[in-house]
Amino acid sequence: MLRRSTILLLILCFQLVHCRQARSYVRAQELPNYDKGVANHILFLDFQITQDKEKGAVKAELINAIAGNGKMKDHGQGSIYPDQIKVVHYFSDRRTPVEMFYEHPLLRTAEVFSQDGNLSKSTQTALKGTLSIRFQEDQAREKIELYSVTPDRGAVKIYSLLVKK
Amino acid sequence: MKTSFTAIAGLLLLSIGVAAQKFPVDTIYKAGAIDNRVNIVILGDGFTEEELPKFLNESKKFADFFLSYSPYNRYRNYFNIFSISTPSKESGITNPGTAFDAYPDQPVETKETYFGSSFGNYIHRLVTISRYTTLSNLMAMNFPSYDLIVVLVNSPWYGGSGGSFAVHTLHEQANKIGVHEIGHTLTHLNDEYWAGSGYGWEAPNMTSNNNTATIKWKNWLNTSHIGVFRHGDGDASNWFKPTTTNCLMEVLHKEFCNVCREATVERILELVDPVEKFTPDNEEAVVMKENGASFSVELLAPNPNSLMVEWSLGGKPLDAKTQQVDIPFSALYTRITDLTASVFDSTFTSRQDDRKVRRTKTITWKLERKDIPLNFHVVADRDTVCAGESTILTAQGCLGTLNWSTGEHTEVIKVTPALSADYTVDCYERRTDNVHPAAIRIVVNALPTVSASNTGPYFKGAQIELKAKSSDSYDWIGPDNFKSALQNPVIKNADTVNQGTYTVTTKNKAGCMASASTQVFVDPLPVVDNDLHSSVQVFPNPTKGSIFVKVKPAGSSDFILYDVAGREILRKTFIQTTEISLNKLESGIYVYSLSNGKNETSGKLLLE
Repeated sequence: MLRRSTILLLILCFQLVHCRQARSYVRAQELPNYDKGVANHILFLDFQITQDKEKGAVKAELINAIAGNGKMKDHGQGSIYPDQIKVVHYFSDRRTPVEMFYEHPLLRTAEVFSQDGNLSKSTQTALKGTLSIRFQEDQAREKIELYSVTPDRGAVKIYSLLVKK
Repeated sequence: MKTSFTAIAGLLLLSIGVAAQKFPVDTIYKAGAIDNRVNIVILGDGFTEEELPKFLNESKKFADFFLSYSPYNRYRNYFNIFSISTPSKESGITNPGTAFDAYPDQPVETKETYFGSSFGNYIHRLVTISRYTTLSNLMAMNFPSYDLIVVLVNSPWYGGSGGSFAVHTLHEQANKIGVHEIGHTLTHLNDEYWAGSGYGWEAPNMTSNNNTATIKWKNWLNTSHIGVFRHGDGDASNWFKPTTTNCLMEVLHKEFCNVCREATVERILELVDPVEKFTPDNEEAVVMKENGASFSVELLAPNPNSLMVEWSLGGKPLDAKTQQVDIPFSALYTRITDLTASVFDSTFTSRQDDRKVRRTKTITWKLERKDIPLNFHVVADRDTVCAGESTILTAQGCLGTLNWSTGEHTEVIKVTPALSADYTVDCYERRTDNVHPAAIRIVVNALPTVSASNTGPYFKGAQIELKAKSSDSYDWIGPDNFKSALQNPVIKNADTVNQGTYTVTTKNKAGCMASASTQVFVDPLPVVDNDLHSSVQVFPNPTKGSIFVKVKPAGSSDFILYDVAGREILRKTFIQTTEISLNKLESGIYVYSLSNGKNETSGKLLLE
């Protein structure tokens, strides 16, 4: 017969494992700092991107979500990195899905500034990194998908997040 | 079970919320409303509570440096700059001291700081933060609408990094890192040094087009070192930049080049509207009184002021170039007259061709003289069009809402009728609920019918015969500057330059045009070589499957069959006689060549 502390530990482990599943959706109105008294909200999501070994499968996990008040300007899409995380926003009102591209946290290319004024790029590989995204709340947004995009593997879906009303 | 999982997630999220804090947002420069300015937020790392005044001082120094940098200096009042003071437990940032280029005199130390900033493990001067969720929470709680973030880290040693936000130390040369990075994040400029394979893309200061007539910075060529410079060899050879070692996007000790300045100004003007407000409101018509009325626009002037204001009344320009005009009652002759103010930034820092069309802001008021009867009607840009063409319909003189027969409600609509049609529109007068109808008929003329063909394929030296069927005029164009007004033109002595698409355009009496095209193939083989031609038999021709080839001269002969596109389909070498099966080929016209020693001939073959 299992001791009570062992059973409790097992229950805790079970729930912690399944917490990841619970995070496969967010409800904007339940996010910290969500002010129901204002009309416009901006959502901030942080994903931990990991790889168990070099060239291994890339995984994503939502580790932080928070809301702020206000409106964002449209800053468009700037850099197009060779290695990137593609974030696709899906809407329920027949709008074309919107793709946004971010630097891949595991394959960053950092800009190095020398004191003589010269610049260069340096590839910084890692097995763990953070992807931070920010977007305007939209009642019609119903899903966000993350893809790891690299020249050798193409686009591989790594996360799907339902956005519930 | 699901409920418990969700609850746990909720608890976790709540704990994140508790960790996020409100901090004072200090205003360094506030020029106007958050939603009509570019908002830069400066953050600090490695400053203890006691050192926060130092952080504020450093933030102001960076803000002053940024706002004095060209072209931002001209548009200082288009920016708000704020700082958020977040105290770190320890002063300074981590120095792992492991990189090959670590500064020998800098102490190796680990510091507990708000954003976890550190010099690089492998490249020392690469200074980055590590606590991204802390940053997200801070911005969500304190300034979610930010446009740009700059993180100042409390270290006198040179270092910094780019990405979605700039990070740099307090070293006197490091502030240019922030300005360079803002070039990326605000203006989407690319680096003008070659960053490596995969880093070439179309950007305001990078292109694969090196045609000086069409390159995106063509209006700056041959001024201030601007030209067309190849990035380098290999992959880099496909990409071009406007200057070399003369721009902040390539080397930190240079200013922005003119092309990057232009892109920066265009970007600022995309984000910030130079018209701050206008009076009176234009939601409803302005009822004019006998003593007239004043109209004004409040502008956000750059320094020097390059804004131009133009006014027009009823479509006619007024002399006024000022921010206010007075319109006398007597200047209005119809019930409704439009007054328009157009505002354009004529800054010399931009030479883009379409800048005036793209960036002119227009405010329109409807001025109403109640003593003149309402004349609601519709006008068409063109009331007669050819099938497939569009025309613009404008409802004029309505003081209320519109309802077109197309279901649209705007003053101006675009229609593309397939056949002649009547368009109606109702004006629902706002004040009286009266409905005023108006209508217009758009006449649609049919397009002429036309077809084009040719008698090919042809051999080199043959006569090309083009044929058109239409009842109207003919206007042929084709390869090698071919032009003809004949119905069935011919081209003698065909050559490969004559191969290609020939298009005939015809116009009917109503002025409507239609076109048709035909593809001409010219085989490079000569039509006939008399020496061999008379000695060769290829039969049956037309054939349903196999052919026999007989050649009188002894010795080896080569038979090659091509399709009409000139692709080799089969080849056979034989002596005097052979049978060739064509069963696997599709029906159509083929061309063969046959050579025997130095003699050669060719011909057409029809496979049924």
